[in-house]
Amino acid sequence: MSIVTVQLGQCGNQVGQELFEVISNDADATQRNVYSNYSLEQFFNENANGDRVARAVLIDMEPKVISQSVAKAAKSGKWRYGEHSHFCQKQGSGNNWANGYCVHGPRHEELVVDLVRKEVERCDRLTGIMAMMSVAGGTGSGVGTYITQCLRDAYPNSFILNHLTWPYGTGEVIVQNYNSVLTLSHLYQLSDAILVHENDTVHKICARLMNIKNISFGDINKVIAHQLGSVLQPALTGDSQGVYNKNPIGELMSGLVCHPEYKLLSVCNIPQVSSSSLVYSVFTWPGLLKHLRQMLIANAKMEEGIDWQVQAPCLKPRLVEKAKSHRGKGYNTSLANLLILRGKDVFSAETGGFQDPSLYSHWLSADEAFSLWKTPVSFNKYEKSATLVSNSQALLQPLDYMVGKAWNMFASRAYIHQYTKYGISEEDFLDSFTSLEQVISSYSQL
Amino acid sequence: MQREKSVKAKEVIESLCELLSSLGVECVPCAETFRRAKFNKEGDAVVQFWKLLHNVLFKTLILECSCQRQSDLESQSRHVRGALWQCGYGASWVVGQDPDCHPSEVGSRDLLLAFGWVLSSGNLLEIMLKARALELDSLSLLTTVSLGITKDEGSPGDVTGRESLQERAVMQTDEWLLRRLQWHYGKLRFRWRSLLTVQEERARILHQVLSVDRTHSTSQLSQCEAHRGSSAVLRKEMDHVRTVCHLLEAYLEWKNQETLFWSWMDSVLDCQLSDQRSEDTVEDMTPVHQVVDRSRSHGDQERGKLERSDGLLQRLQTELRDARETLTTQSRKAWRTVPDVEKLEEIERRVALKLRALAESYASTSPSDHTAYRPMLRVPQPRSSQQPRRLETIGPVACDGAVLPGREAGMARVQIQASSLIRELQQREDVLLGELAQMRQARREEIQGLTASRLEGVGVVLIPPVLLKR
Repeated sequence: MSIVTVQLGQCGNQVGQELFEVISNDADATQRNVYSNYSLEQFFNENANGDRVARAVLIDMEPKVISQSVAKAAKSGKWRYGEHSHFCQKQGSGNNWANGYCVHGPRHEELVVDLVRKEVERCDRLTGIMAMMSVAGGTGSGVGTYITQCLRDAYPNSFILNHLTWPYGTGEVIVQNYNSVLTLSHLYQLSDAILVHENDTVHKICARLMNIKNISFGDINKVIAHQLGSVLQPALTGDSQGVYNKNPIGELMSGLVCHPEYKLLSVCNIPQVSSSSLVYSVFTWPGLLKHLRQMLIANAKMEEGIDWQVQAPCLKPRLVEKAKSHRGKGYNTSLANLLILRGKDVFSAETGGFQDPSLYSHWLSADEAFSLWKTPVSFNKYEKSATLVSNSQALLQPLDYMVGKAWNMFASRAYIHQYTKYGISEEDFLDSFTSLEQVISSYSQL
Repeated sequence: MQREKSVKAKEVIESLCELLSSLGVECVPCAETFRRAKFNKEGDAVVQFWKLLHNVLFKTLILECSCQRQSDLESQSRHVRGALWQCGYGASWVVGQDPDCHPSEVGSRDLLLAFGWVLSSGNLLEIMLKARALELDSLSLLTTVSLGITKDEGSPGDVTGRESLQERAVMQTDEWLLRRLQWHYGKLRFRWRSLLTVQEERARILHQVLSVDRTHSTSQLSQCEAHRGSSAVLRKEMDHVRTVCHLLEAYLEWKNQETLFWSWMDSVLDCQLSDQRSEDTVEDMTPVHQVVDRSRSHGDQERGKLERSDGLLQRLQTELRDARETLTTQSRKAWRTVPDVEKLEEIERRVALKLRALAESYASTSPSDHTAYRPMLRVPQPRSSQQPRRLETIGPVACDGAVLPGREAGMARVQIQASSLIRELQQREDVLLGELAQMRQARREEIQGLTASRLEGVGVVLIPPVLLKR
């Protein structure tokens, strides 16, 4: 029951490091031995000296970020990365997906896959491989896609989850939309599930909820790590009969992404406050869940500024069909949802609001589409915390925006030569656009 | 040295036999039978090879006709012949004039050669290996899903009242059902994968336990045996895995020694050839060789055919021209004498006869014609003086009964070209007919001119058209 994390590129390595930090701290904070044992076994192994070593492989084409992450981990004094479980080169991928996918990936395939294999061999039970990367840059997206492909070949029956960080809409890299389109379209074929964090929404969370003035990537990564941790830490599933779920990624996938056309997952989490005000805040389950439900249907990624006008249609079962076809604008239809509740009095929480058939598609009943995990152990210093992993239309709009931007650039053949010179043809671009249009169409028809 | 070689050959053949029986082929003969077949021994070897061929071909080749496993030799041999024919194997006993000759009349070496041919054409063993592995390996999940969904209460097809559903397009409901099915299928696959990881973990831990405690390994093992015995499914699975391992080992063994087998098969072929040379009769010219030669000289064949058709066409043209001349003279005569009905009819009949004779003499090439041209199939310049002897010797071969089957096979293969030949001939014919019509028109005008001058004021003179029958 172990997850092997593959950290790719700058973003992947930073987020990954934060995630291990969160997990390690959370496991230490609780007095519950079973919980922390499960948690630690999932993400760490113990070496001969009794050190806590992350089950992770670090890959980047530049040495800088990897050495930073390794140093940070060592500095924590609680855990560290494996001594030989990282791979880096001297020269980056220059924010070019094609460079990563066609040049760096194939060149270093053998070494990287070997590193992962060694890590996998240290697990008694491999419950999943999590590849963490951004879609904007060159190494994370290009090499990451290539490595995911190799992992899929090497582990055809393992659960592969890709955690993607989507760039700011305004852009860090001029060709980020190209990179995103190419990454997403390829991963859609390879991965079992794609969990997405958008920089824009996380940035807003940092600004409005956490009251951070000068937001750095470090702050953003902390929020992402918190959300991811709240998903992946041990929990009791519906039918686990009091035993912690040993296969969180597998359970997550069999609840959310069973249909091959729908693989995009978004996460939202409540509450999120600055650590200084956390001590003074009191939350109740009904309040949290009411907010979370409205965040879901109004597609808001944080509890501030939710549009309360968006209403679920009439709940009378006979009229659901009719109501579904008259859903208002801005209504976010879900295919499937997973609600994870952690903290005090969790068993008193009433989750009926998420089992409303009007939230879901025509073809999947609410019973099948909704799953619930609970644990009385509080997470990451929050007394109560609710996380919703949702396979819904939430990512439709940013995806559409991304594809639209990329298409406009492609229509004027901007920067295409940068890709063709590494062997990505215009035909490949068109294929990627087509497959993403298919995804968009699938989600809009929910 | 020779002895060593033969021992080696025996091993190779044994590995092949091993592989074949692992692949689930029944009645695999032993290596000794192969050796006997090499020297064309009668009796048991023949029967065994019929069975082997039947079983192998039955497994791999899907015939369009009746496909049942045969038990008696007669029908087995019929099946084998059909299958070999379908594969394109053109030996005389397969496509011979007398396809119903008794199975035991076919030499065991012939059958061995046929088996070698089947083995070497296509990747027969690989196909069988794949099928067998799929049969055994239950872990490779089959993607067949039964579509029998029960429409229980609360399923999306039934979510609402029936009134509103009726209005909805049935198609949409179907699509929903399909998506639902896909969803559940995906879920099943995920569950299966989870179970697989659990199983892998178990195996790993068991391995650890066993490797840690080696001193008590026997007791441990027996415990394992006992545990394994408790689950029949697991035992079955283990058996399957063992069989697959065995199968793959056999295949590997065979692959390592395959080249030796083929050199042995070469020696079989040499035997066959030397036998023929000693008999020194043209009748026993191996059909196999002919098949090979024919396929090799395919280009020459084409060219020869083209040349033949060209000559045919030229002759046709001249004949047609002659015929036309006779016709025109006849018609002129007929016109000059007063044309009464009887005479006209007679002319018509004669024309028809002439034309039919023409058509018959060129539509199908008589066998003698066919064979007359045969030497051209082999040599690029058939009339060159360099190889007159060869031409002479091969010519008669073609007429001989022994090769007739070969020709049949050849004809079957020619079919496509024959159609193009026919097309070309038809085109030529059309051109000729056009010419004829033109000339006839000219003649008619000439006649009209004449009648106009001679029979002014008499009235209309009807000139019957010249009938052309093919």
